[in-house]
Amino acid sequence: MNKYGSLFWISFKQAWSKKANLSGMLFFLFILIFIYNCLWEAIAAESMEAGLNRVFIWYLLFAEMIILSNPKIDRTLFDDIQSGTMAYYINKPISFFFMRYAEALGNMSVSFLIMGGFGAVITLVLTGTPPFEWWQFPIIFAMCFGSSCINVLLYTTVGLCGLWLASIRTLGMAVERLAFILGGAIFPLSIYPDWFIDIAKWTPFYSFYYLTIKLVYDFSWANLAETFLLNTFWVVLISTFVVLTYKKLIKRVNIYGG
Amino acid sequence: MAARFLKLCKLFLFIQKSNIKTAFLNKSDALINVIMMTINNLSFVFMWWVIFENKGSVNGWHFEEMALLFAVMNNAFATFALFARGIQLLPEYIDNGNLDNFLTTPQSSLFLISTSESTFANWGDYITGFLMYFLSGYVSWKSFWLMVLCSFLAFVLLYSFRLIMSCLAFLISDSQRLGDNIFMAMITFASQPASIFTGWYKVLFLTIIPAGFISLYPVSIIKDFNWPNFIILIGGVSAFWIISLLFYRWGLKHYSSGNRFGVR
Repeated sequence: MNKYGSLFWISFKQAWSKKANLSGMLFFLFILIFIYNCLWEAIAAESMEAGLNRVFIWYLLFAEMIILSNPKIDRTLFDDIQSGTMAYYINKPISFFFMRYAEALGNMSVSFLIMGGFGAVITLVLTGTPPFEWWQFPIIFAMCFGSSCINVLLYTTVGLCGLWLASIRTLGMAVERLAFILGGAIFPLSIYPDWFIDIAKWTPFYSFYYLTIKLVYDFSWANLAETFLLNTFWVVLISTFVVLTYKKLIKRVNIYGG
Repeated sequence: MAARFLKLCKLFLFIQKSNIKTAFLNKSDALINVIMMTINNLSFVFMWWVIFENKGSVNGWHFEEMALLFAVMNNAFATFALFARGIQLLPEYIDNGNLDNFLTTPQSSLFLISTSESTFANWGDYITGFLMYFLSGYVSWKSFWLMVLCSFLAFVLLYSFRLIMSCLAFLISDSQRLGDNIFMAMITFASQPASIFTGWYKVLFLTIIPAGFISLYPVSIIKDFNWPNFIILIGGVSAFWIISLLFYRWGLKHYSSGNRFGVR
């Protein structure tokens, strides 16, 4: 466990040292919050629903923290598989998959924490008081961090699809777009038609995006428990897929080489 | 001058032919990618359709205007991704010294860098772009050609903005993601109803992040052509084009070789 912890910290420190990347990410987050604040203010003014932007901008902040902090582990794994680099790692006394996952978590944590701090200040300045009580903030933050870890796990499955696909760029983009739509990562699912929400409920995006982030404006212990249980269910399912695919991958590398 | 231009056109066509041939080495994979890209785009359209269904209009913009915006935006981005995406890799070329290879060729280095990368899946953006134009309700021969022209101008603007961002690599090392993020911010800006930006926000919308030249002016020109707006659009795009070329020239002057040996 110690070696994975070390990989996590190395990756954390590396990501922290890339100031240009972090500034670009924060600039993008700022632009997103700014644009959607303008949008929700315009909508609120037209439909006479004051405070609409306050709820939805905080919601957007947490959604973007999950999405933008994703370190593109899918592309790293895909490159490892396609170039054969993974063959150099699998005979080391460390699991190749957990090595990459620990590195990705280190990278993701830096982005998540920085965006959390910067985004919260910007959102507070733009919208005033948040739609949740301050004592709920650490719980919501921790739940969203958990969702971010699951998101990274989900993208490992996309990367592992490199076993069958010649390119995963479009698949990765499709997963991202599904998160936007079925997970309500830009506009909450509550504004969509019922038939669409019924479809979304069958996907992992519903629980680890929508239900988790919804705690921002609809916090209750019952909602928290429901979100936690559903997230656990999807983690088990995704992990099973990862284990089966990874076994297949190792078998192929052992037979054919890298 | 004309002979040189013709030579570049020939080379451009040759590169595009090779790109298509490469993509079609695996036909089913290429087609699936195009279809998935179209579905991706349409899902985004669906999201906005829901908003306009629920709220009616956003500061005077309806779904029809949004459809025109999607038409221009998707066509412009498709042109960028298919024919000039290489400019996005300029920071990488600078950082690892590959830029030297482009500089030592007799052809224009900017042209070669721009055409060095292409993503076949982005043909799906053209499908979405034309589909959205026909769904917008503003269909006529005049508006069609205006849409094509505005899409081309939007592409020039996207390209110029990305070139400026890529030139940051002449100053800051490892700036690939910084440039990508600012470019994404610009695309996000341009993909919103232009009517939500008023006052000082509108000034920002047309200067530092010039997304207004992709959304605000093209949509108003396609809907109802008028010369003042058209001249502003041409002027804005030309200004950014010239600034981006000056940036690139300035960057090259300050560029010291990556000391990597290699010839293209």
